[in-house]
Amino acid sequence: MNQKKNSFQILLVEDEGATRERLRAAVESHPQLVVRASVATFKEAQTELRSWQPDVLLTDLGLPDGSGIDLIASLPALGYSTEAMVITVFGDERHVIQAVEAGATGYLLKDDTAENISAAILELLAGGSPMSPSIARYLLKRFRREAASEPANASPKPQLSERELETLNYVAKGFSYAEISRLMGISEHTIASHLKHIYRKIGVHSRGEAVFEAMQLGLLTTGQ
Amino acid sequence: MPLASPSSKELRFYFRWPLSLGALFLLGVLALLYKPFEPSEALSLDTMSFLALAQENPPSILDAVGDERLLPDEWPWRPDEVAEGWYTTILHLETPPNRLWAIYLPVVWMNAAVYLNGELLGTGGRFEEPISRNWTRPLYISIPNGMLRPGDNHVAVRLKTAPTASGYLGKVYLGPDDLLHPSYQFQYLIRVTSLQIIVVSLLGIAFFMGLLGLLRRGASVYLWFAALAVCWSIYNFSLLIPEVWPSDRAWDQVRIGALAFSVCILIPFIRRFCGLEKSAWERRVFIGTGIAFALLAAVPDSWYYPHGTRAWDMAVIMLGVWPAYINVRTYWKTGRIDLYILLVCGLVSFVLGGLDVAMILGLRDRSYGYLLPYAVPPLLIGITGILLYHFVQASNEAEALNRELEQRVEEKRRELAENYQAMQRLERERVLAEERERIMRDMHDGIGGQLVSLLAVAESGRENGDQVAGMVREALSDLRLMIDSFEPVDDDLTAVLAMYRSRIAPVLDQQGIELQWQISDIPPIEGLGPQRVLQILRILQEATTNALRHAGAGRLSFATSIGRINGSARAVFVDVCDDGSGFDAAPSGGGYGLRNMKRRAAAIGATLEISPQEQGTRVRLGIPLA
Repeated sequence: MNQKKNSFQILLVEDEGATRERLRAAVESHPQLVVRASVATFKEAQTELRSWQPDVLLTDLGLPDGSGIDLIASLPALGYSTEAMVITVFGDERHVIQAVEAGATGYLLKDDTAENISAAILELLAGGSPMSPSIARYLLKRFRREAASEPANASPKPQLSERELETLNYVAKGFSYAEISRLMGISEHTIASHLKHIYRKIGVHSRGEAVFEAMQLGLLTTGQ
Repeated sequence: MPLASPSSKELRFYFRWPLSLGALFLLGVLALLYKPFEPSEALSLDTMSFLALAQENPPSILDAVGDERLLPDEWPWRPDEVAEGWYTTILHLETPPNRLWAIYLPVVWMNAAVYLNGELLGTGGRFEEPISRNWTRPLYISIPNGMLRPGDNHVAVRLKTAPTASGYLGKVYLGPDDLLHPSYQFQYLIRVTSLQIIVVSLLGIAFFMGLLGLLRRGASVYLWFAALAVCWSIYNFSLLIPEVWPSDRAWDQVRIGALAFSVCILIPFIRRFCGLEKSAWERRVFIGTGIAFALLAAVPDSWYYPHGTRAWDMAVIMLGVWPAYINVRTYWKTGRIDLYILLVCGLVSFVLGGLDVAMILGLRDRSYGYLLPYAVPPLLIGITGILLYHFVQASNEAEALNRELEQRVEEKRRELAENYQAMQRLERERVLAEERERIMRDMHDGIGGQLVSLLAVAESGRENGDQVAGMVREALSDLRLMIDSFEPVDDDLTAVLAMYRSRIAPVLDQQGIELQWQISDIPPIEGLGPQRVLQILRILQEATTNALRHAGAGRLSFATSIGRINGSARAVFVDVCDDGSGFDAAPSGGGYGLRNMKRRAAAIGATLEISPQEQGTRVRLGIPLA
């Protein structure tokens, strides 16, 4: 996915000027990370996305002329394998889950230190995906619900493996990756990739559902 | 009589009476037109010589000099005389017939035998006691070829009646078989076959109505009708049966008993039909009739015939006035069409019964026989129709009622749903108000105060970037606690702890403080809502701050366990331990924070206990289970 590169190109979308500058500085505090464009609106972001493929898209959710979620959701249609991260003030479940379902694989807190911000981006690029206990809890509940309502419905639901579920369970209880790797007897890297898989399954499944629902509503047509 | 709605009621009344009277009139005309179908080209023996002789062989021609009797001949009621006799006549033929002839006796009471030229041609059954009863059946005897001679032929008819009944010989016809037989067949159809059909129909109807009455609760009217049909079928059967046993009188008793009990049953039937309650008089009538019936059975023949039976018949007619009166009165009051039908059918029975009595009293020719059995068909059709109509109506009403009930249930359900919604709205409003108040309080407690001190620092002009950043960070983290407290934790305390850890982990990392996480599965804590969650989060934060800021700890551990508070209530314990210098040693320093923690713990019904450890301090929060 991400070949060994010297630097990674980042598109930053944040409407509040001071925060945008602060984030830009935080990201670029690491020599491998380059913010190629930092924009304030949905339109500008679209224009940027049409002309180049970023390695990472960092976007706020509430933009003045659109939603960061739609930006994230548009990535597969452009044929991009861009990693998407949401910038949020509180990192609360409601905000993040929406973005995850649109295809985001991580989130950043707006007030985090420069060190943490660049570390999180690099971790994402290295194949990991940070996940808060709240989000883990939410996903656990969601998979349990879907497993319960499974039988008659033949539509393919995302299935989590035993190990993935176990990982999710530990994250929900607040254990760190290091602790989980000790408890489960697997490497931290494996845990990170479990979590990333979970993110991807959610995103892919949600996008599929969205397309299906849109077709049901007649918003999309097949075979044009 | 005052009428509620005279127009419709009177109209109905005046319309129906002519209708029923017209029907009765038509019935009468039919009865009058009905003659035992006289054969036209046959020889009718209008007069015969009668000899009251109790012998088995016909008297010789020389002996046969008796009274000339005009046929039909009815014996006056003379119980003392011999109830047996011979009718003879000479039939003169120039040439004997060359085809089959027959003798036809349309009406005979009770039994007859026909002799031609001294030889027996045929009989209607037994002449010994109890003799065959042919009062409803015509006799038809064919004459073998060659038995009629040219010149004089001696025709003799032996007539015997039951010792207690009056004898009767209708017309006697003699003629070709092909001319006589159709009229015999017609007479047989009317007098015998139709009665048999009526008996079978009565029993069938009784069976079905009885079944209906048994299966449907509260439908005694059907049962009464079934009983009535059974009684009447017994009455008709007693008229129909030719060979009786053990005696003629026994069957007369059955006949008049069946008639009387029919009227007894008619009373409760009509009363139920009119919607009247059970009355003691109904039972009394049954008992009285039963006693009278037993007494009549015991009287000697000389009292029984004719006075006993006549008195009985009159009494039965009198008794019949009661149900008739109830019927008329209720019909007059309600104008119910079914009562009208019943009334007309009953009237037919009355008229025919009256004619029967007239016949017994000798006031009417006996060639028609008993007529009451023929009152059954209209009554049967009428009542069956009415009861079926009622049954169908009842089912329809039940269905309609059901529908209405469903509708009402639906209305109630809607009302309930509305009430429920209103209640829910109130509940929502209440919860919202509480939440609003809580959030206000929390804002005031936390971020409000922090912003105020931030403002103070900013206005002092001596602002230091780091100090401001630190204060803002603190405010933000408090805001995060508030936001975290809104997460649905489903009564799971580990979720709260996990949330807290994810908040402090970066800070601890930055400060190089080791964190030990010893969280195990704990039972759910009921009612772990946002308010309690926020208090717990703040207690944890306070404990963390104390450990880091005041005790200078380098290691922090979080652990959960289950135990009892003061050895009684089961509780979940959350321990926050540090390896610092201990802060309870200096109450003046950390006092405010400790007081705050205890206050918060008390607010959510939990306990807080601070104890020095070998190295450092342990803050133990105890949250009771249930």
